[in-house]
Amino acid sequence: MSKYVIWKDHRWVYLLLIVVVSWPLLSPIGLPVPVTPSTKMAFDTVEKLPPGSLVAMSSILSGGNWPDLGPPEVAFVQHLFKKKLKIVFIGEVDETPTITETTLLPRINKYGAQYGVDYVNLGYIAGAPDVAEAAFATSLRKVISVDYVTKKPLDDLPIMKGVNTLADFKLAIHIGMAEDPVRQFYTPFKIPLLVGVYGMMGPHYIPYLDTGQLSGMIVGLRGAAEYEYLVGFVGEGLQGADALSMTHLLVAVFVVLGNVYYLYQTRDRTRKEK
Amino acid sequence: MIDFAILSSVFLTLCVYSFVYKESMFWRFAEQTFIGLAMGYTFVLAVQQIQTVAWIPLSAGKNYLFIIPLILGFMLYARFSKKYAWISRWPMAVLIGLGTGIAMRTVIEAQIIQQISATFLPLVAPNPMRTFNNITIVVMVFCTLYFFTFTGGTGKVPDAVRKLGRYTLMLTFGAAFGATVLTRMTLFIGRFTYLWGTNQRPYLLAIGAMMLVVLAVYEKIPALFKKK
Repeated sequence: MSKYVIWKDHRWVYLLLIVVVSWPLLSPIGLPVPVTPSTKMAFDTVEKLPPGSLVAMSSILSGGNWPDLGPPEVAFVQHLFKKKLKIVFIGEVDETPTITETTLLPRINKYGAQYGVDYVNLGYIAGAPDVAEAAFATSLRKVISVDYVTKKPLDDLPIMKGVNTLADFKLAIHIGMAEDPVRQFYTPFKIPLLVGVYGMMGPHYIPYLDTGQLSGMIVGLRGAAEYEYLVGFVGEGLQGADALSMTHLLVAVFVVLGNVYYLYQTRDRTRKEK
Repeated sequence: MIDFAILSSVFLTLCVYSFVYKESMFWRFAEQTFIGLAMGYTFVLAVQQIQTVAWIPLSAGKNYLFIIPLILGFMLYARFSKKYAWISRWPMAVLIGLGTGIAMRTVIEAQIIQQISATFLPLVAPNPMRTFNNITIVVMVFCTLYFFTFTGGTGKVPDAVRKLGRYTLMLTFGAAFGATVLTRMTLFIGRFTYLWGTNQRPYLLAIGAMMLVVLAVYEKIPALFKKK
């Protein structure tokens, strides 16, 4: 049997992976995208907010994690603009404010929103995750004096009038991990908290949904595809959904084949020993 | 007109992915370029951050208290001297103490009390699926916790409970590992989607073809010299 095992050379696996990823991107299959309860909860939480409500959007977005965290943030921000909500962006990684300006916002339909009035980028806060979040939540004016884009004092920006702590916001959204915003945003202020997390962290954070500490969650690219479907636009999530489903299928097939081969080898070895 | 931003991003991406074939000069070039760029970029951002947050308010006479973190920051560099390395322990102690203190003030409620109370579930719910889920959660939490009681008795029942706890842990680790592998796939899909974009495609095909030729020739050169 071992002579048939071509994937002993890992390069065949990579080649197969490239074929499986490229095929649905070149010719979309249109596999169904069922919406998971955590994504629906996130969507409903945003839908319930009245227009003009202030939303804090903290993020650890960077070039390296864009494929997994970028699409969830794009989906959230697109929905917030569509609902005419006011957004305050903060970055917990030094790259985040730049990525927000150069990569995130240019691909969003802002529905006529004005900088400084409907949204603002407050830049990077050092000390992530807990220290930066606690500083922003309890005394944001002590750590941020001017905004990132226009370098204007916060009092000169209409959106920041009378905003001093997280208690002045109606919703907090965090892109990254979920433990630290639960500790620094939800627990002291008890405002609804949504997160967009790495695909690998999704299973870990389900208990936070059960306790009500999270009001909703988008899990990686897959969750972004579901959210885009709910909001009604096609972004990177829906574009990559077919490729993601196909690679999941490929990995599942490899797991089964690997186990079959392992069992065969074990049985073969036992037979030889006898 | 050549777009150098796209050209460099496509070239460096292909350089990194050349590693899946084998380690080559392309991979080493991308690796060293990335480290150099990342260090330079981080350094500039750090200087900008110090300037905006601390130096400007300090020099404008708005807040003299910022002198304290600046001094603590400079004390960290004492690590480079063997004689004065002990000085760097003070800012390190402040950093660790501050971080732990801020995280700990809500960790008891957020990650212990709330999580424990979420496992106090009714074993009979109106919905049969919910009933099954609740029973599963309660049994698995109990068995997993019992797995870590090393002073308990032995026997058929305690061993069976521990075994169920072990299976629960294995299921959790399996789910985490599976999700991790699939996240890596997401990163690859993201990169591939970018490379196959309308603007990037000509660069991908041209650079990809050139790299394949160079790799093929590069591999043949040592063989040619060996023959001679």
